[in-house]
Amino acid sequence: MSTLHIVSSSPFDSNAFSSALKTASQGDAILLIENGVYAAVDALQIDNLMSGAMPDITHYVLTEDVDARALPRLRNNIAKVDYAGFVALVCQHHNSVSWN
Amino acid sequence: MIISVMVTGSPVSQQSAQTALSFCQAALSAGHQIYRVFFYEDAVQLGSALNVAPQDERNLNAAWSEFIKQYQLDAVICVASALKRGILNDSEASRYQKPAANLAEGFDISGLGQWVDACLNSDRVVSFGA
Amino acid sequence: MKTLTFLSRHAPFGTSNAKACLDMVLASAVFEQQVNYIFMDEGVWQLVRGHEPAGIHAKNTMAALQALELYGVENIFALEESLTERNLTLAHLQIPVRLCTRAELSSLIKTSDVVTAL
Repeated sequence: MSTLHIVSSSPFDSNAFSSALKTASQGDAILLIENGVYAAVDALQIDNLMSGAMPDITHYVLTEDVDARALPRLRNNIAKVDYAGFVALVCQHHNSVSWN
Repeated sequence: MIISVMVTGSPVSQQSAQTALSFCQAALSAGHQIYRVFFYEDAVQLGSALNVAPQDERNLNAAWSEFIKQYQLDAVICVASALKRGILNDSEASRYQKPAANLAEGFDISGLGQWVDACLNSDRVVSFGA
Repeated sequence: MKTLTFLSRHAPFGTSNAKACLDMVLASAVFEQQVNYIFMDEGVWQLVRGHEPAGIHAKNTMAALQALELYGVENIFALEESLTERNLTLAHLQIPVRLCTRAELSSLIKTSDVVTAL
């Protein structure tokens, strides 16, 4: 039993990512989409949020949204998926939470 | 798998209705079945047949309407959200004595019970926007 | 019967999210599903007693929250962390809720069929 947390707002102007991160438990995954992809940048503020998170949570980012926004550099250990991958993630997890 | 989708974000001011459409297209391509798409809150604006998009911009209402017709999807617009935002089918327009109906082809207007029903009959439910 | 869990994460006034979440909870209860209604983040402000929204011409949703039990919605939670962050205690709240920890929230989500955050 695991949950896919879908985050669609930027961590720089919303608590969606931080709330998802604190709520996700072992074996869950976080998928960043839309302005949520800004949580994939390699930045100190994101590191700080990440430091309190459970280990063993897989992080994904939606390629189409990253490409649209020209993100400079993604942090380590984050996997890119396309829409087919998004669908696959939804199927692999028994439920999902959309954090906006 | 049997998947249902709820869309809540405005198609005009938010990306979520486009994200939901791309997700649904990918789900069908992967061989999954879409039980229902439920439009709630500002997403009901997708059901208007009267929107006009600038020539150089995507007409998301038309794209959703085409997609729904092409795959004969069950697309339900929440009645409470729709009435508040002026999205009416013929029967609602005559019930409230409004001068016109504007519900686009492919959409139905119904209650939140249809969303609960979708939850009961789907393996996965995914929400887009808020 | 399925377990439908709702995370109400937005303040009572200013946007329609709180009302939209409440309406989904009520619809789920009418269809006799197992419902968990969890107030967290800005959503905990919905529970504070003493709202007087007449001056902003908004509807007071407290009456509906107080009627939840009549609809069979008994699992109402507030995330303790969200209350604490806002310097709120149970004494500030209008309706009886169970406090839940972050770990309890995670496990409520785990055991749900569908989770809706609004």
